Amino acid sequence: MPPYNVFIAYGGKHGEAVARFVAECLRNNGMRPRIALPGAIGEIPLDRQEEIFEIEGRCDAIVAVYTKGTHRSVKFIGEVERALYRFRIPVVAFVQKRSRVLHILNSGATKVGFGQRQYRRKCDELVCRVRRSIFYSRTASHLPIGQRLPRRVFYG
Amino acid sequence: MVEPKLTLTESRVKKFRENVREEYDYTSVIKQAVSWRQATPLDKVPFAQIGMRFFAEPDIFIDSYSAGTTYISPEIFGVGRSIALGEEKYLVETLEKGIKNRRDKQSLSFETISQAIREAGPSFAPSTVFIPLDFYLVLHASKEAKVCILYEDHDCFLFIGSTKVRVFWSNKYVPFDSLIFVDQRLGEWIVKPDPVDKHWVTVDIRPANEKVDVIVKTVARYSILDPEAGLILKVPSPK
Repeated sequence: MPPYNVFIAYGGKHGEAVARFVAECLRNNGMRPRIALPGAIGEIPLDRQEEIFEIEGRCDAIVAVYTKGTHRSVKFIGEVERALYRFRIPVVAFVQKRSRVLHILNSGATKVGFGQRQYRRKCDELVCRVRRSIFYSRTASHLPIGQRLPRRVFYG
Repeated sequence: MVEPKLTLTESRVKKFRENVREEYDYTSVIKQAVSWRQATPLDKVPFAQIGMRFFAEPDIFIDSYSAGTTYISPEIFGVGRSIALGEEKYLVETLEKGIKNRRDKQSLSFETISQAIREAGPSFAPSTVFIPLDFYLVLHASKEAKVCILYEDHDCFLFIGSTKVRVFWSNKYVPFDSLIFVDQRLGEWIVKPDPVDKHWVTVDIRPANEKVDVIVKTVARYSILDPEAGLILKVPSPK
């Protein structure tokens, strides 16, 4: 099975540093990160935002790295809105504690919190949430009425 | 010996149901993409059930598992989205099978799209188009003023001259490789809502031994009424 492609959106004061860590964490756990950040693992070598959006649309999920000040990032908001409303792919928000979280992340995303100096301890939890979000989002089956819906097995 | 049944916390069951439906509501494209109505007793056509069934751990449905500093949220992200994506996939498959007008063009331009729409008939007036993501960049970078993508709030539209058509892109979960234009006369989405609260998604939660048996589904059907009121336009991928 090919690895999951996971787009990383980021913003805020510490966004780049945390996003680099997230890219490394995903790669080390068998996923393929895609990120518009020079020098990061999984770098998308493109400048045009529309090309970046298209790559985002091809991903299985996005991780939205949210550090303090991200609510002012138009790029971040655009990437998360596209994931939620246009591409309809799962969003896992990696949120710095005590930051002002955008409304779109409160209603549409699963969240993993981190303290400013503790984000490196959160790799396992983040990977678990990303895998679960992708797994739960797999398209539901359609069957004639009367047939039993297949039972899915969700692993912890 | 019969194991005692789990006693679920009603507020948690309610919250779970609300979360699934909220996620479904903002992911589902049906109300924006095609004509729809609720089923009546006169609808004798076969319906499809679009859904899933799974065993959940009891901790999200029972308050006592959340004690001290541990809080277990009564939600599973992705379940509502899965139903919405499942119905979208079913819709696209039904359109691909049911639409009569099929055209092959060598490129995507104002002329080729307009010509294909004209060929579909004088009364053909598409309001929705499903577009493969392969064409995302081509359409966004289009230098032709007569064919372009524009956004209004969260909604994406394709302008073909003065014609404005709502766009839905393919994704990893609902793939397709042709442009599918839909006139509202093509058909209708008929849904059998939850008999109690009339929401399109029913969520059935029952204790089952040490687990909780969850069934989430929508019961619906897309009936093609006029197969000429749609267009499948096949264009080689620019990739």
